Parts: sequence; structure tokens; C-alpha cells
Amino acid sequence: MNEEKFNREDERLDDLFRSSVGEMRSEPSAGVWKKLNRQMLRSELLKFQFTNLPKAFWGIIPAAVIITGIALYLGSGENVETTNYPVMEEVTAEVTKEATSPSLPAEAPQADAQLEVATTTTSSTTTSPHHYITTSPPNNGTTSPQPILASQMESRESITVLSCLYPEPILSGITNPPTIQAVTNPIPQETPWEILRKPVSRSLDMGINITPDMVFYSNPSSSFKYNYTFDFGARYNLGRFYIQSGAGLTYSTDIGDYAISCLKNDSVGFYYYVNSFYVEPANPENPQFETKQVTVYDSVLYLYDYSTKNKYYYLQIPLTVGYRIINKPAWRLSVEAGLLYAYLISINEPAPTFYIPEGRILDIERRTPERNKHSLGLTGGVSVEYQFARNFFLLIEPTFKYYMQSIEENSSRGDKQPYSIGLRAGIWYRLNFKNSIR
Amino acid sequence: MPLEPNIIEGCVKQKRKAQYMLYQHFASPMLALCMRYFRNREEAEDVLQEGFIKIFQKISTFRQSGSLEGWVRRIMINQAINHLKARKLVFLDTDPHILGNWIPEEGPSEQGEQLFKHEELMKAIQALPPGYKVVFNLYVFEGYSHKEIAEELEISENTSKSQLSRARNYLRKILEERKK
Repeated sequence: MNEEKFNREDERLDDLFRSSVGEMRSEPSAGVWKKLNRQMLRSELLKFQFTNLPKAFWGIIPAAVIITGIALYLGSGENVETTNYPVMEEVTAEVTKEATSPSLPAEAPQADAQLEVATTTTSSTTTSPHHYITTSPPNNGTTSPQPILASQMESRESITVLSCLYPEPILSGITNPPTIQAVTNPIPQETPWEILRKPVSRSLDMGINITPDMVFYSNPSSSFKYNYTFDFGARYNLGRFYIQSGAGLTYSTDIGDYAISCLKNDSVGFYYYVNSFYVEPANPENPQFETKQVTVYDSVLYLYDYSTKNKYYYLQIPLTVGYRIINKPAWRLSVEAGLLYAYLISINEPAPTFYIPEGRILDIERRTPERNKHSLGLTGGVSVEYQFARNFFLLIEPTFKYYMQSIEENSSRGDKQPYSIGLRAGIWYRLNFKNSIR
Repeated sequence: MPLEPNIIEGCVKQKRKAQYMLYQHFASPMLALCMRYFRNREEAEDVLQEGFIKIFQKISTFRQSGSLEGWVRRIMINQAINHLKARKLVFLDTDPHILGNWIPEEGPSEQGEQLFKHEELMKAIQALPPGYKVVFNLYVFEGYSHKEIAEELEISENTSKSQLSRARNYLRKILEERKK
């Protein structure tokens, strides 16, 4: 009796909680999804899965490559060609001469002391501005010598030029320096576009390459496979930058996937089918039967076959932009990134062959997904070039490719957006253009 | 509101939008579930987050013929239990005969639902010692038998019974105190 009461009270308590707390909902804070999203993105990136990478990143990557390239180009100081100002040495020599003879004769002809310098680049077709520097001797003590002050300069570029013209040790050694006036044109600030438009070396590289790739599929059940690409590439070089394209033939393989349904006699066995019989007149009571054994199938089996190897041939056309970080005469190191278009040109999917002992095949269902004809991907790499002859160089380039669209139509195995890691190796020929500057 | 069928497909393909929609659909009831296992909300939210990561990783193994909510719920419960186990879940008093000192009052004892708000009842559950709490939750809310609880928590059936009994007594005391 008491136990029943206990049980009833227990049930009542349970119901009280079940009916109220059991139906409760509690809204999570906004930070939960943000943290969840971040954590998932991190783990996806570690698995080289870029499905959920924000779209802005796809724009940022090439932009970052280009900006970094420009920054490296500007930072390398190659646009300030101080060594290519031959007149500068003459100026230095003149100033040194004047500095070592502190008291110039008052009657020294103005023309001797005055020096007009034109600083130019070595190019005959240069667009660089000319900087005219005029030096004049002290005016016979009537005018005190004027130091070179930054405030007297009309622009920062003028200071740069003067610093180049009059190196510091020389300037500091001048006890009675001549008045130096920065006259004429202040050098305008150059925009990045103007810098890019400056004459640079132009050349065309052409080469043939082979690239073995390890291709990884996003579907976890698929392991990686090897692809082989044979390509012809062409690069148009513009200074340290280059644009690259070409065409390649890719050989790719995948396993065939088939489901077979078959009848199999695994428990009933067989029976004898009577084809005919005859009765011997001498022994009419024992007819002779001509029979054949017929197998009885009592079960349907479903088998999966992965024994066949499908072959696919793709035409690949890349379009990439690259920048040479290191540009030595003997070797060069470049980074590049861009797009890759692939077109499926040929398919070879051999039919599966089966032998089912004591069984009969009912149906073969093809489960290998159809491949898409077109796909677009991203590609990037770091290439090392080794110049082994005047116009020939070897290229070794670790590459990365990621296909933005599924390569399969209506895939039941999840989106097959593979990525690949490969090593491109080839031999290239450089064709220099005649009017090349650098 | 029923879940659109293509959401699961999207989650299998690891599409973030579909994952977000699944999260939106189940986050509130699952957080309430997690909160029954932990005293503070932050910890419950951590378990919710880990649970959803498991869900998104394993969703390709979900069989469409079953109940998605049941499957999601199951993962959340496992996640909560694993989280508690990691903190060395202790089950106090394993004597099955100890029923506590609560004796039912004479006459109908209507612990009317009107007397307690949902939040108060939730707090009462949260105040339980961890061992009591897990067994009470699994038995009352998830409908597990003592055998199933024993297997899940790797304890004896008697331990499960005693933990449940003590949990009920504990809750009654809390509710009586609040009633006063």
C-alpha cells in the first residue's frame, strides 16, 4: 500500500518535470553560432576543404598576390636607378675639386664654376624628368656661404637627387661650400601606374612540362588518386611580373562503381527437368528418362563491384599571374595564382565483367556518377627556374589546384570538389624582345 | 515547424547555409536539454557547440527513415554525458534500499504545476548533484530504462535506481522549501 503511494508520488513528480521542463526551449546566445562557424571553418581548412570559405577570400587571394608583388617591386628600389646616372660622377668630381680649393678666385669666370647637370636614365627613349642642378661659387665674401637646407629644396625628390650627387662625406668635408641651388623642375610623385608603365624588360617564355598530381576528393570514402598532365605553357614577362597560359592534357582515373543483383542457389539446390523419355519394349515397366539438371535460385544477392578503372581525359587551360620574388641571372623564384578551366574531352569507362558461381546476373546498375563537361578551379604555385643555357631554363613548380564546382553530375557521394597537390617540371625557352630595357 | 528535406542534403554536402538552418531549428530545444545537465549556461552552450560539430560531421551516417530530432537528441545527450565523464562523474550512495527520508503526505499531494515556474523547476534539476542529475534526466526525460542507463553510464542497475530515488527526494525537498 505504502509502496503504491510512493510509486504514484514518483510518477506525479516525474510528470511535473516532464510536462514543464521537458517542453522548455532556451535561445542560445549569438556567439554560439559564430564560434561554431569559426571552429568548423578551421577544421575544414585543415582538411583543404574550401566549400564554406567566404566568397570575399577568393578575391582577396589574387589581390594580395598582386599587392604584395607591387610592394616587393617598389620596395626593391629598382625604380631608383642611381647607378645609371653617369653624369653624377662628374658632378661629384667637380664638387670635390671645388671643396678642396676653398677660396676660389673672385675673378673666376662664372661659366667655369657654374655647372649644369642633366640627370637622365640610360634609355634614349626615357620619359624620366630631367633635374638641373646649378652650382655657383661664393660671391667673394660679400655673401656668406649658404648651407644646404631642406627648406630650400622644392621637393623630397630634390633632396634625394642632391644626396646622390653630393655624398655626405664630401658635403661634410666642404668648409666653404658653394651655394647649391636646386632650380628648375620639382620631381613629381610617381603613381604606381606610372611606375608600372616605366620601360621594363619584356620577354616570352615557352615550355613543355609534365605534372604528376595527387588528387584528393572531399568525399571521405575516396582516397587520393594520381593525375598526370602534359602541358605546353607560355609566359609573357613584364619586368618581374608575368602572365601565363597554355594548354594541357590531363589523364585522370577513378574507380568504376557498379551494383549487381543476381540470383544464387545457396539452399534449395537443383532439380532434374525431363526432356524426353523412351520405353524399351523389352522392359516396359522401366522407362528411360532423358533429363537435364536445373538450378533453383532461391535468393537475390546484391553485390558491389569496384574492380574497373575509368579513365578520363581533360583539356586544361590555365590563366595565371605571377611575380618573381628572386630574379638572379642563374635562377629565379616566383609565386603565381590564377584560374584553371578544365574540359572533359574523352571518357573510357570499361564495362564490368562478373562471374557468379552457380548464379545468374539479373541486373547491373551503374552507380559511377556522370562527370561534368566543364569545371573551373583555382590554381597556384611557387616556381623555381634554373637557367642552364643562355635561353633555356628548367622549371620546377609545386602546384596546388582546387576545383570550385563539383566534377560530377548529381553525385550521390557528396560534392566531389577535389583539390590536388602536384609537381610541375619542364624545360623552357626564353625569347627576349629587342627593345627590352632590363 | 517541419524541417525542409533539402536541408539534410545540404548538410551532407557541408553547405554552411543548410547547417545554419539545421542549427536554427534545433538549437533552442537542444540548449534546454543541455542545460538540464549543467549548472551554468556557458557550459551548456559549450556542449551545444561541440554537439553540433559532431552532428555536422556525422550527418552523412543519418538514415533518413529515422527521426532526425531523435538522432540529434541522442548525439547531444552523449556529448553531455561525455563532458560530465571527462570531469569524473561521481555517483554517490549506491545502496538501492536508501530511499531518503521523504515520506509522502497523507491525502492527495497535488504539487500543482501552477505553484512552480518552468525556470524554477529547471533550477531545481540543475541544483542536483551530477550523478543524480544524469540518471534523473535519462530516466524521466529520455525514457531510458535502468538497464539502459546502467549500460550508458557503465554503472550497475542498482546504482541507477538509487540515484534516481535520491534525485527525486532531493527535488522534493527543494520544491517544498520553495513552496514555503
